[in-house]
Amino acid sequence: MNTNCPNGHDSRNTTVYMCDDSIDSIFTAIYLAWADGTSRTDVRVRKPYETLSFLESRVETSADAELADKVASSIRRKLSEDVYGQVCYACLSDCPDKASYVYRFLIKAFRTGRTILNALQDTDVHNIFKLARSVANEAHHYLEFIRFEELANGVLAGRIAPKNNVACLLAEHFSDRLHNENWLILDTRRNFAVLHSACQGHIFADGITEAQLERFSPVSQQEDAFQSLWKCFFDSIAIETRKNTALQRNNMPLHYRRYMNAENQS
Amino acid sequence: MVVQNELSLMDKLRILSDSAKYDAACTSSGITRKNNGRGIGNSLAWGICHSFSADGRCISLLKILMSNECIFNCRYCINRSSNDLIRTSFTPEEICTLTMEFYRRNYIEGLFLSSGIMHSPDHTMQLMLETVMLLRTRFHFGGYIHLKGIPGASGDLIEAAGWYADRMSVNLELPTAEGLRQLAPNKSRKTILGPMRLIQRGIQNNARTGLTLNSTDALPDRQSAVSRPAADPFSEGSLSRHSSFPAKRYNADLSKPSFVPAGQSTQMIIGATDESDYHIVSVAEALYRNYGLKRVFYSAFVNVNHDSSLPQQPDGKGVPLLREHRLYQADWLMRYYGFESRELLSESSPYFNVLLDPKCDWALRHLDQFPVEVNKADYYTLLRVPGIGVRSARRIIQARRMARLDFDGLKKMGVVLKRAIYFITCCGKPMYPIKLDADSITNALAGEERRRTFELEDHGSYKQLSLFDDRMPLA
Repeated sequence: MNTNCPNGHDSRNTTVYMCDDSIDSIFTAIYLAWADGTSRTDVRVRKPYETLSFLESRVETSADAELADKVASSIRRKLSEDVYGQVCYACLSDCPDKASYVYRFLIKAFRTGRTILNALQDTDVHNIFKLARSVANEAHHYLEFIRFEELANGVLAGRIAPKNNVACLLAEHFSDRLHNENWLILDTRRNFAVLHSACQGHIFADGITEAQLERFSPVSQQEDAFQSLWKCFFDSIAIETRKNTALQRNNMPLHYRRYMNAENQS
Repeated sequence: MVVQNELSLMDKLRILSDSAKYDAACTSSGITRKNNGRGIGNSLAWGICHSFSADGRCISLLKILMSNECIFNCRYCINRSSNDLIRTSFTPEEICTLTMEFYRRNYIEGLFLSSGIMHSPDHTMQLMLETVMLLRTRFHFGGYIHLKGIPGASGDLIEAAGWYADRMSVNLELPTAEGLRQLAPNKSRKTILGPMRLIQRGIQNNARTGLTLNSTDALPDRQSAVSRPAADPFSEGSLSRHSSFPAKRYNADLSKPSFVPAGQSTQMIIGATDESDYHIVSVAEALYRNYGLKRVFYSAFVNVNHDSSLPQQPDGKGVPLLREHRLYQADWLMRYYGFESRELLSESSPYFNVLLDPKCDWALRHLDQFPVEVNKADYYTLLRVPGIGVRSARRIIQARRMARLDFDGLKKMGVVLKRAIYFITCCGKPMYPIKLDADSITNALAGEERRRTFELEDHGSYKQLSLFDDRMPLA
């Protein structure tokens, strides 16, 4: 563990507010740190096996919906929905320093006002911009690359293993697109699922594992046939004389293909 | 011609997708539409690619032919009537099943339906129309449909199809009427431009009656753009014309029908006849101007038939992809950067520079307009600087209101400094002392470009062109 926090502030006498990896929890810690005085506090997401710096003192916090709401509504009211969106996206990132980045950004944002997002030349703003962009990019890639399998009970099941916590960002899109289907999206790294019931809406569920999904239902009888048809299409649409697997890999990196059966075999 | 219709669905799919693969267009962009409430499907204006085939091209639509039977004998086409091939056709029901089931599994954004000419153009168009009607009205499919207009089909059929498709395209095939006469004797300028004009009129009428459509102008009106006060091109919404995201419109409501809402496109084969690049971009520009097209696609020619009257390709690799790439770069400059074809090329230098991209090439021929001061230059001047794109120019304009920009800041905006440093100053100073001299800059840029070209031809690690250097965050 660095003795300095990532922004190069002198960490002596710094009080670090430790929080869990969720938007509510990060916002709660930000609220408490803010109240303590922004010049000598920082916010950090708890990790397993963390060494303590003897120059820091730690305050453990846990999510408090009311405090988190206060932070959220201040951002939305005093800054803008855009800023709120960027901050939420940044909070879904897998960057270990994200809480601190968000905290630094918000300190500056409340000083500057709603135009803050334009000041990309500023390091604190650029950090948030980069995190939000990488989350948005990954979410967009999963809109493209997630594959649903039809289960015997008619449910469409899609599995993903994203770096950032993007499953919740896919919900809206597929709720509209497949609104009359029962479907679920399972983040197999976080055991986090989006469950959608036909013509109704979706809910988020924690603690659902891949093994549970397999026990839930086998794939439907026609599933293999359609997967083979897709594989057939996927192979025959390529122009042999223009074969270019490097370009293919560049556009569709291998880590996205974990649950893409046709693309995985090529 | 042996026609086999008792093949399995798998065999038909293999044959009819294989026959469709030389069509370049596979985009699903141009329209945002919510679910219709009765079936599956919606559409997003910026398009979604669901996979990338082994040649690195995007797969976004189920791109198939209705049939590979064809009474025409176009020399460049794999399905020409004189070729000895297994011929088969899908039934409309089969196409609907494939589309619906692939769509549910998130394999595709929708359907791209083209066809060889069965019996007659009208018969073919009729079958294609039946298919999309079935898909839209019985299966309530709300995804994207791109439909080919068959050259020579009657106007009524083309028009009827336009009410069910999101995008329609009639392939121009070759840039000149002469080329068409030689290589596609059954097609003529008239049978191609006729339907194209008809679709354009349909779109315009649809817009005029105030139902759903925006302006279909694809080319920015440069004159008015340049004379506009440069300080603030965004707040008044003028940028929408330069943006690939049209204003959101929802035509889920069937009482508000929309005609080809994602606009029309076309395709030209590059390198089968000896037109110059200048000729090709001029034709494309004219199509954007006069026919209101959304996109023109360029397809580097592959001599699949080993036809002796066409350019021979002993290495079997087709026309260099670099040529296609340069044309797309120029196409982008014309549609989004306010360039005109005659600024890029001329009768006396009708081909693109192999070593430099068209924008660098233009900048080097106009060194008197550089360097540009990034803290002062207006939006359209910034857009002309190599290394600055639509997004970075927007960001520069917004960021410099907050504080002066330096080179480090520019990097954060996404400016490609490798190219831009020769053409810009920050607060009056270049990044380091640079001689504004065409030869030395050309050398420096060409070294970098050679590497990119090499990657394009041999390693393929170039990105597909995109208007923006990074993606839109989700709404």
